[in-house]
Amino acid sequence: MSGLIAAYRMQLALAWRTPNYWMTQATTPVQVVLFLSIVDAFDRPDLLANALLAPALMTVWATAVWTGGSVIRNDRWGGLIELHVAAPRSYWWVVVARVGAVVTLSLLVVPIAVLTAWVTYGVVVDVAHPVMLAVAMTVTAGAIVATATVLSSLTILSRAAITFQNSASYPVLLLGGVFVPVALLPGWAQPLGRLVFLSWGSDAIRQTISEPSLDGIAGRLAAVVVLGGLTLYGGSRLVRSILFRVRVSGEIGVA
Amino acid sequence: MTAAIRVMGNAALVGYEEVRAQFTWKSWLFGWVARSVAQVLFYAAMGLAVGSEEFIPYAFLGNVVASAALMGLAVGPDTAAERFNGTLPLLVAAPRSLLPVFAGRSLSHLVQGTVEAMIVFSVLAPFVGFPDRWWWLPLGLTVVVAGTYGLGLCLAAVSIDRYRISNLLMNVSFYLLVAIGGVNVPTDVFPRWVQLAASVLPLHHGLLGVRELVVTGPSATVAGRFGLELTVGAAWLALGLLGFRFAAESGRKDGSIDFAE
Repeated sequence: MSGLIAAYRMQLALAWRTPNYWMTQATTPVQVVLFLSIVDAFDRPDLLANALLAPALMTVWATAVWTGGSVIRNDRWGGLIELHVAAPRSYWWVVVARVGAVVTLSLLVVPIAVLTAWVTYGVVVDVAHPVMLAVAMTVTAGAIVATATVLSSLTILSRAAITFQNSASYPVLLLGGVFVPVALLPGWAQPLGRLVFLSWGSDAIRQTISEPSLDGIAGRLAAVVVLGGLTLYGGSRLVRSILFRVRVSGEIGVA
Repeated sequence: MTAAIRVMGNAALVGYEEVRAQFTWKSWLFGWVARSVAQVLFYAAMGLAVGSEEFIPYAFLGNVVASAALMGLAVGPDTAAERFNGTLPLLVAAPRSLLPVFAGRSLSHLVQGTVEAMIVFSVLAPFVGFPDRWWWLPLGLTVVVAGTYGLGLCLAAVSIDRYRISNLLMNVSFYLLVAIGGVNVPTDVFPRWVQLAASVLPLHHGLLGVRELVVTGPSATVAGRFGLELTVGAAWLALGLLGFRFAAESGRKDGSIDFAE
């Protein structure tokens, strides 16, 4: 546990000095305007939660994927990955903790999105269940960390994985229902969407913002925890197998 | 003139080889192009939530054109990398203008942007619907990529001292163009000053031209829109070249031209 805390603190300190890790947040205000302009043009104030949630989750996801990728890439380029592999602590958990640190910082998008909505469209966001919103955001952010770290781990195997890792973003965001709830997607796409943790997380977050009742939220959050937990477990096995493979092939230090 | 064309040709070859080094055909098609398809689908699908049947084809065409514009803007990080790669001092020291080098290097972006957007269009149009005269689309896409190229180069001049922010600048600019350029909703839903800002940025005029072109075919109005798009692009290009000259001069003066962050 102390190793994870150390990795988390180290990445937080590094991130403060390296805005590269979290500055995708600078795109949030223009994205908020993009989504709000659609809601406003079609006179759908009931979609306000969707318009704020979409850019926020897009930014958190992008930060997690980008950071996860650069943590591993930089370790490899810097010749640190061999040391990590030789150390008794699992490299997977170190990367999870480091991505988690930057995702913590990326949650700053929430006030940025709310502030932008107020400044540009005069929208004051009234959250129906603020405590549950915090819980839902935290649980969803945790699952984002796990999933993004798995995608990033693939970059150890191949440089082309970076391209594939980027290309996974929009399908995840689409099937994750960050703007369009999965229930509104075509029938054949809905089961696929339900396999993506983000679809449960998005529904839960929207519910805490705009719906008077919290019926069914426990099930939604449980789905996020289960899918995120499975990813976390599968990811740790995957990284162990990838690291074993590159050790055997002698490619571990080949960036 | 002949020398400038030769330089441009050689630079185009370098640009092409860079793209080849960056992608395999598998990572390009199933990675990069698939990402563009998903991106266009993501925005067009918003019509399912807003409950408007007109939104989907409107946003579909808008986002196809925007995906091409992204390649124009991608010139920014690639050009800013000249300093990072250590090639900027050589370019500045050479007796030729930077323009044929940059134009040649970016030719692949023009082709790539147009081809990729056409693939995205071809994949999704059977589900969304083909506009009446869709075969004019490549022409419109080429104009838009050329228009956004000028802004991309200007961003490169801004970020040449700070290479690490070049991607961020590209992304912020891209989302700005998408937000106010008429991609998902017409620009006239915004206040007057936002419309004014959109009109001095690339994409807006070109996209209006594309929307008309694929319905009516070539016309004086379309030519006027494309003319405006290219004029706006040329103005940003001029500003970018000025920025490069300034960066090169100040770099030579304080000896920092070979230093990248």
